Amino acid sequence: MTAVLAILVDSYRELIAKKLFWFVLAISLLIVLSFGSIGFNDKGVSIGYGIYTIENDVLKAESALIRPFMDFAFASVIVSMWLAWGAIILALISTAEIFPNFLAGGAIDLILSKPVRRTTVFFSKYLGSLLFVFLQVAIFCVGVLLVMRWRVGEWRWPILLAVPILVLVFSYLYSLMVLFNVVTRSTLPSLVLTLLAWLALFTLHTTDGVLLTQFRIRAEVDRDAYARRIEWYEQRLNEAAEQGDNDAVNRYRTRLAADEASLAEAQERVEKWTPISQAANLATLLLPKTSSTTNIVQRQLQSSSGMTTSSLMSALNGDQPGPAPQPESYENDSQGDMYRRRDQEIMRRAEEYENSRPWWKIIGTSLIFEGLVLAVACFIFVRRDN
Amino acid sequence: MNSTAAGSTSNNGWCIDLHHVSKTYRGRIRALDGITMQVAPGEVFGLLGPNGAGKSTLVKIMMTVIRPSRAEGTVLSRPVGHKPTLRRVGYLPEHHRFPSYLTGEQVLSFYGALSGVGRADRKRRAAALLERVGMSKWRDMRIAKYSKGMMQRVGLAQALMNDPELVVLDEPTDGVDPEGRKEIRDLLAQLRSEGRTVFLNSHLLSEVEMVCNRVAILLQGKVVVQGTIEELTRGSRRFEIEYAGPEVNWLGEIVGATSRAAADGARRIIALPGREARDAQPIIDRLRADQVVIHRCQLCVESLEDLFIRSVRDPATGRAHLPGAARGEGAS
Repeated sequence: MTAVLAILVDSYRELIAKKLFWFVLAISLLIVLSFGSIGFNDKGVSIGYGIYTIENDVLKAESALIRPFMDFAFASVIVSMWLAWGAIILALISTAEIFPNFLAGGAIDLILSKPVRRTTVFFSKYLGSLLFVFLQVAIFCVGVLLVMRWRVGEWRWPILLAVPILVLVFSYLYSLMVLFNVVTRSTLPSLVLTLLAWLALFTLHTTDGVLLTQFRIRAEVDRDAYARRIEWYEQRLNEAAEQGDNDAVNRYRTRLAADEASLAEAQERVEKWTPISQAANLATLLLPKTSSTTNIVQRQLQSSSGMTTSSLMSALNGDQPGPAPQPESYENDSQGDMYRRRDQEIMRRAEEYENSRPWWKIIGTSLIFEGLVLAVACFIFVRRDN
Repeated sequence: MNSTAAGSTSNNGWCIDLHHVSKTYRGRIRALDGITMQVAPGEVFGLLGPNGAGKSTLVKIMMTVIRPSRAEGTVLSRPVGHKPTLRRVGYLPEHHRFPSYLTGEQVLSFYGALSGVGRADRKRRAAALLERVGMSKWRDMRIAKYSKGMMQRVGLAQALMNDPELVVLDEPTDGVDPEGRKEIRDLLAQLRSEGRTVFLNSHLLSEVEMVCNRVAILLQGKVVVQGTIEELTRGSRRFEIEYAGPEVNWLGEIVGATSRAAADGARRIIALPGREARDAQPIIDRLRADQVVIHRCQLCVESLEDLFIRSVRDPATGRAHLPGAARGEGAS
């Protein structure tokens, strides 16, 4: 235990000796200050600590939307863009040389000559390297927590969930970097390979997401929309037939024929894209899920405020939350309205799908990947002569 | 030093007792080939050899840094590679690199902790050891600002943090100025007087000769000679008489005596292997009777450097063996 603690303390000293650590911290504090500059007055949203006001009828002082809006700004903008991308890229750059320096001749000889098992040395150093993100995100989140207390008027404790979640996301990528470190023993190639691997993971998950939302869910939404239209037109057709309005009957029959063809085409797309989307999802099952893991913070905040992103957007637009409202008559339904409803419904269902995925499955499958990568890296470290 | 240090003997009486230690790297580079070596408790043992002879590989195998292809024997009575035994061993590697962001005191504390030394002991021992190696003044300065010599001193202190019974030093005087080297020699003598065993790997033959009880010379992964310096140089002990003049014709009457031209060409040297001054008196009398001018009479013993040069030269060609490890057919 003394040895593990010594390696952790040493890692801490190594991190704070880096200029990049303080640079990232400075950026984080600037972002916290910027976040804190968002306020609410009688006219709307004030920014720059009251210097400028954006007038808004819905989002203003005393509005019930303030809390979900600030949650959204934190989880969807700050966490997803700064912490999950910017800060992690800088953290990868900062920690890229930790293992190569550790493995360098003269340094590793002394460590391995001590009465500590190589696996203990390896995992202690690995955990120590994660301190970079832990410290950065912890300080950042405490700052945001204080801002929320000031602006929203309550302690939003779920914000602190970002600390373990972001450390977890970083650890998925850092495990890959450590593997490249022990294989190449070089900083730059390891960093480049890790960033390429991250890009590959991002591409795979984006492909999975696009297949799901833009093909499968879109086809399902189209199918359901046409099914509703057909049902509406059938009712109108029956009414027109009962009233003996032949012009209306002919008009409805023409519309029905077109919609039935569209329904068949949509059903065909559903049948085509569902297995493809499922296969893509299966292919990414055991890969680390950086975005989905980050989204857990947003899900937790939404669950505590009882408002999803899509329902917040609907509320800010003055719409009713939930499924897109259907028109009373499809006869005068414009194509623009139809597309708007469809996009809103796709967003809602995609969000529903994402939120339905159990967090333990997202983290669990990612950790299995991380564990396998670390096991290979550790095996190489333990077996190699130094 | 703890209670077990002074009398640390293995079951067979050796502090280090190695047999058949071999190491073949990938590419069939045979760094060590069946090393058998013994180091007695409480002695300073010197390991010598040309570059690439396998000295550092042998040290690293003992310190579990490198896995041997084969190794039998013990270090402090436990099998080679037994990790917990390293609590009782101090080590200073060649070309060591301490974390540049740590201060001298933090370096000692860090490596002491890795050796299992408790916090209070670390603090106490670090202060005492920095004082002992003359580094107290710079204890709070970052290692990055240290000179090579200062780094070596801190390295030595680091090797003693766990109060070891066995201290393994790989080129401890590397980069140290003459005064610092003397201080290190004095430190080695102190360690020996405290009952610790010192295993010293060094290129500096004069230093090894001054401090070591026993030495071994490695060549191409094999031990070519091993023993006390006195034992190893005994065969070279001779009495020499240098005189001016031609070769005397009666030298064949004296058993074992040889004659050779001196360096200046005008003088000759008569050598009497294994003889003392008393044995040389009749020859001196005879030379004086022949009116020969005698320039020098001296009892000569081979130096460690002479022994080293003789050991690393191919007797057939008289040239030094090629440096480096063995490679090729025999490598397995």
